[in-house]
Formats: sequence, structure tokens, C-alpha cells
Amino acid sequence: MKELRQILIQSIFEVFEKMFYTFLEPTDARYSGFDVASGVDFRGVLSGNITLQLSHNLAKHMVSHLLNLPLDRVTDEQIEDCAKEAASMICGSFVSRADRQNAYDYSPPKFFTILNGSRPSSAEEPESIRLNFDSDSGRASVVFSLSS
Amino acid sequence: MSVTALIVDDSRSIREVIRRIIRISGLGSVHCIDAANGKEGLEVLSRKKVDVVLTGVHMPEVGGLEMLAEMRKHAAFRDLPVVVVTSDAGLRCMKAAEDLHCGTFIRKPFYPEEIKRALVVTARLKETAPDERVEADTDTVDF
Repeated sequence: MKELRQILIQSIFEVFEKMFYTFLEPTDARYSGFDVASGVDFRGVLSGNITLQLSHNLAKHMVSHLLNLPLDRVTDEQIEDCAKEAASMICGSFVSRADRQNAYDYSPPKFFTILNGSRPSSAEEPESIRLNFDSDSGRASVVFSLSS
Repeated sequence: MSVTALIVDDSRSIREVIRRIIRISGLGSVHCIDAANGKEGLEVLSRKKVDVVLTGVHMPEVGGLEMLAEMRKHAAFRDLPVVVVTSDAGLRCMKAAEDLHCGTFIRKPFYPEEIKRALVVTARLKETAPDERVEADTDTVDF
């Protein structure tokens, strides 16, 4: 699990830095107060889910950086599309680093608006990892869980 | 001379990013057409002349590799340059793309330079001289 955690961190950094020009700082603080989430299920030798949670401000900055748009022109539709794409890239990057040899199926990315600050997660289960991040533009969290 | 690029991805943002990279890459006049999945991509190919296809893999209805397999059955598209841009960098996906004569396989997340290089290598697009770049622009048609 420790190795998977390292691979997941590398994948998250790679996606945020390359595509969204956003530098995340890992933190031990366990935040709530996220506004949007996106998730992808993967199925193969390893099966599970990766869910990305974002504060609205960070999601907005990600769109702004990706599409080179002023913040006041960022739409909710773009936030949804970018959040889904980010989860999809993190999942693809993670799975191909963790197990490059075998074939995997991926679910279409799903998007959620969070009303009460944090999506219910399986982070307390033994086979899951929760990573929290800070950035200049807001907070992010990634929850990874393996299904049995 | 204008070149037509077909960009197939279910993410509007990714299509827009690729379009912008093409626009600022100094590759001359590139006319971009968007499609949201392989089915739409095949429809575009049936009615427009396309010089290069950039496609994702996992998409609703018809995926990128299914589209590519269908294209390769037709003589008109057998040698059409294709660049695959996907989050799925598993060896099976790469091998499937290679078997379908994909010219370049780009893993998401990508650097803009990777898209540019793929278009130069796979589609033989040439860089415009810096003093001519003012005229180089991307003409966009949303599908």
C-alpha cells in the first residue's frame, strides 16, 4: 500500500503540474469544505476507484490555467469537464504506473457537486488512501480505494 | 496551404487545449474540426477531407481505437496520419494503437510540445518561419 501511495502522489503531481500549472503541497490536515468531486472506477488485476475533491476556487483556477481564460469567464460546465478530465488523467497515470502490463477498463468519469463539504468516502477502510493538498488557489483531496 | 485536423475527444476542454496548442505552434494554417467521440469522428471523415486525426481512446458510444479500426478498413483512410492522446498508457492500449498504425501515442497529461512534435513527425506539418506566424491561425469548426 505504501508503494501505491507513492505512485498515486507522483500521478497527482504530474497531472496538476503538467496540465493545470498548479503546484500542490501535501498536508496532514484533513479538510472538509470541498465543493466539487469527480471520480473514476478502474477494473483489472487491481480494481477500485479514485475520487478527486476540490474547493471551488481551486477548480476555477485549474480551468483558468488549462484554457488560458480569465477567472470571471470560467463556467460551471468547464469546471465539471476539467474535474472529470483531472480524475481520469490521475487514474490513468496511476494505473499505468502501478501495473503497465495488464489491460484495464475505466468507467466514464463522474462529477458531483458537494453540498455538505465532503463526499462520503471509504477512507477509513484498510484498503484505501486519502491524500490532502493545499495550494495557492485552494484545497484538494484524493481518495483511492481498492475493491475486494 | 491549409491543413485540416480532426480532434476527437469527449472532453471539450481537451479539444480546446489541443486546438490552442496547434494555433500557437507556428505550424501554418490549420483548420480544426471537433468531434466528441469516435462515431462523430467517423461522420466527419465521411463528409470532409481531413489531413490528420488526433483522438482520445475511452469515449462514449464509439471509442478512439474502434474509430481507428473502422477507418483502416477503408482505402481512403488507410494511411491517414493519426495521433492518439490518452490517459490510458497501458501496454495493451499502446500495442492496439500501434497495430492500427497510429503514428504517435501521447500519454495524458502532456506538454504542448508533445502535440506539436507529433504533428510535425506524424502529419509532416512544417513549422512556419517566425516572421510569417502572424498569418498562421487556426480556423475552428465545432461539430
